Amino acid sequence: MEKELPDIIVKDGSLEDERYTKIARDIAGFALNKLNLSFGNVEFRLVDNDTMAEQMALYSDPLPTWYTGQEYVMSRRSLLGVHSSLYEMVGHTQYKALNDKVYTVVYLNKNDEEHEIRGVIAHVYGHLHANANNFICKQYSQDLGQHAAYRRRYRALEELVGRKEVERVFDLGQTLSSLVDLYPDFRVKKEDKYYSKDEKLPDKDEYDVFGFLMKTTPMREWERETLEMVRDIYAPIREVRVHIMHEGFATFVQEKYALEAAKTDPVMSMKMEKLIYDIATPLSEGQLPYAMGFRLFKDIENRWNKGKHGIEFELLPEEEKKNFDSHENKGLEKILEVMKFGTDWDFLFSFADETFINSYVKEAVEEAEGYMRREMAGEYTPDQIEGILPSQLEMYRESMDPDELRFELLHQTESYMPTLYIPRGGANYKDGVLIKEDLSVLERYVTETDREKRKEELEEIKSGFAPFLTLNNETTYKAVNRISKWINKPVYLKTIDEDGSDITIFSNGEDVDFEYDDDDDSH
Amino acid sequence: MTSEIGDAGEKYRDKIRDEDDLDVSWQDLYDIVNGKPVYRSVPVKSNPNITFGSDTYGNGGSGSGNGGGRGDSGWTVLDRSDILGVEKNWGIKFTKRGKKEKVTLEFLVGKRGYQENQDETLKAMLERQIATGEYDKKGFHIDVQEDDVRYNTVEEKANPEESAHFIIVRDVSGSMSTTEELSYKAALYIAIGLQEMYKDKVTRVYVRHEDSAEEVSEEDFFKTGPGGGTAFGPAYRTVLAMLEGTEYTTKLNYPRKIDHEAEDVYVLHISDGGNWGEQDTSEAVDALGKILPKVTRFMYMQIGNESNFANTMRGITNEKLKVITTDNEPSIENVKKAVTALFN
Repeated sequence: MEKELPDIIVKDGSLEDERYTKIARDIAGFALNKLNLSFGNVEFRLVDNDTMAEQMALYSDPLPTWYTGQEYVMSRRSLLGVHSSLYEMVGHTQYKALNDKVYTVVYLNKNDEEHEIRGVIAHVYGHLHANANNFICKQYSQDLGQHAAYRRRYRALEELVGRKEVERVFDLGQTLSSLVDLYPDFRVKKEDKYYSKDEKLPDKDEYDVFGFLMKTTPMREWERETLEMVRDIYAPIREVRVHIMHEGFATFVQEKYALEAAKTDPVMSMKMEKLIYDIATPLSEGQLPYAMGFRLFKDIENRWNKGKHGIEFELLPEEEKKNFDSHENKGLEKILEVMKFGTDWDFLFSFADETFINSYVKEAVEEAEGYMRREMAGEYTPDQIEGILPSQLEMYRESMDPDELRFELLHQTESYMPTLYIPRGGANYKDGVLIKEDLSVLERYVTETDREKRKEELEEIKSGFAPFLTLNNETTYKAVNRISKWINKPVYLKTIDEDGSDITIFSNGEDVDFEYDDDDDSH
Repeated sequence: MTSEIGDAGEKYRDKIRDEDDLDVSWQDLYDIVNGKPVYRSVPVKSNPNITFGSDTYGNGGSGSGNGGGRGDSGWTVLDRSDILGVEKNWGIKFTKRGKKEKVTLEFLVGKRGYQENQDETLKAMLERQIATGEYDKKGFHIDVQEDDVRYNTVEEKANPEESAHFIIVRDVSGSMSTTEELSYKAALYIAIGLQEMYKDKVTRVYVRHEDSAEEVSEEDFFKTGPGGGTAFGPAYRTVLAMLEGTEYTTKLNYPRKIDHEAEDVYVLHISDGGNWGEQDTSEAVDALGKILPKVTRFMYMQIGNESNFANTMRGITNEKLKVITTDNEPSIENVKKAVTALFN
């Protein structure tokens, strides 16, 4: 039995665009019934570049601040210029949308051609499914009505206490907005006995540093209100952990629709396919979420359709593996399961195996060769090109070493932001507050089983990762200084330097400095 | 601007003028002026965060590619405002006919040419499949045959605009660690100045060298810290290779071939002059001898007087060659003084 369609409408200005509404409903029917997606009501709005730029800015920061103005100027210049296009902009999703008469608003570029709009609508349904089903995205829905209320309140506060004053607190909020618990599932959990029964503040390690400082720092009511607004609007920052999956899945849905369209309109289908591969190119670092996510979902679909997974399959001889097909046909089911429970790290760690990464790199090198040939054509003779190309391709190939690529991707997805916490009792550390960088994520790289050897190996790993994990830089200094000034107490930040030695960065709100630690005395 | 954003754009413009503890960088965006695409640099501010990375180990400072360099280790900030007040023309002359430009005419589609037009190819494939009845039998499938392939026709035409290349060669060897701040600032000052004054007319090219040399992107060029030995020969041979269209090491996508007959080429080399000695000097001078006829001007800026290389350069009689030496004071005044001497 076919699923009931949610309410879907495409508007151009205040009027419904009946043709595109029908197209959007047809694509929704395909996505819901053939791909088994689920999402709520959608209002597509066909808008010009100017409105698109404005919505991009408000998505980054829904308050009417200088930062929103900056985002608006950047995106407007970018979209009105000659080098950039943006196909869609999904507004913040509201999860009540699944069972309530609330619409997720999606902006489509009215300058696009029909094949682009069709593909983009399918792409958007992929995003909406991910938003409504993935365990991280589900937690951080945003209420657009609330955003509008925040804007009004922000302006009222500007009237009340002055624009620069409110801006000062907003700036502080941006500095604090990254002090949230991004990786609760990654850090090593401490046992109960770790905590003694003495009264301490905080009484256990506190990873929501922003929240804790808000609770314990005296401030005026309007300052608290402004910081609470900032804290709320930046909550979806956590969705960065599913960025590759999000874009990959949306592109996967887009291609499924393009293939479906080939049955009735092959030329339209070809154009949609071309658009997909232009966007999901492995040549551009910025497009990696599309390129890798899309290909990895396709790979999963293929493997689970053919039953090419599990121990029995792995034990087969290599030759048999190539042509193995048990007709399991569980590709789509597997993909929806991965989308529901996964993060980018799980996605890459579990599925981007050696075979996949090698094939991804091979495709990237082939594309690079085509690109270089096109760029050099006309500038060089064919003989010169054949002379130059091999060494350039070799350099590119070296920069795409499969082992390094996989390692880097895993490292990136487990460290978008530092994991920071105030240790138990850290609110009364010396004469100020202690913040520590949690490096327990590194324990997953330890292979030794013996306790002493594990410790030694961990130290080696720590010093290997130190250049990437150290916080010893100018912008951190400024941030620590700001926080200290705000709470009116010294702040001590324990981290490592780029060689892996323990250091403490400290500030009294005026000056900032660092020193090497003699020992780790945080507890 | 609509009511939702309100006066946020105005607040941004005010914010840029504020003196505060925010980080500043510059972002290049395309714009269209008189129907012609040009770059515009737009300042971007960001609030500081506790973030990964280290910049306390003299790594030449970070900075966005096109300006607004932010010095580390207590370096003073060199900002675009430092360029204001400098004379509006650095004597870059456009004496040659200007670069050629390849223009792809999308409407000219033929069966032979430089670049495949995939849309047209696929259409031709489909038309063939329909005409031969293959489509009715097999349905839609990709099966491109030789006769299906369509190409864009490429037309060459001379660009009437003035154009020139400016190659900045910077010594990043270990001996530069004490003179690095001035070298970094001078290069950055010139890069910003070229962009401000000549915008898209002058293509900026970056070569860094120690005992080997390579072309790098603008961003990488300003992120490089000192290390390694010093040789000038590889650096000059890299410049020569760009002019002759031969192979050289580049971190960019493909090697550059500068049409020195059509465009003016300026080269600036910044170093402390501490190279490997006679053999390298001889190789460098040999390469320079081949470079000079091809360029409009070659400038050599030596920081400090401890090496004889500046004297060697002064011994070469060629009106295209300009050699200056400067002390190691990294103040903006000294940078301006050195740059003024180079261009006059």
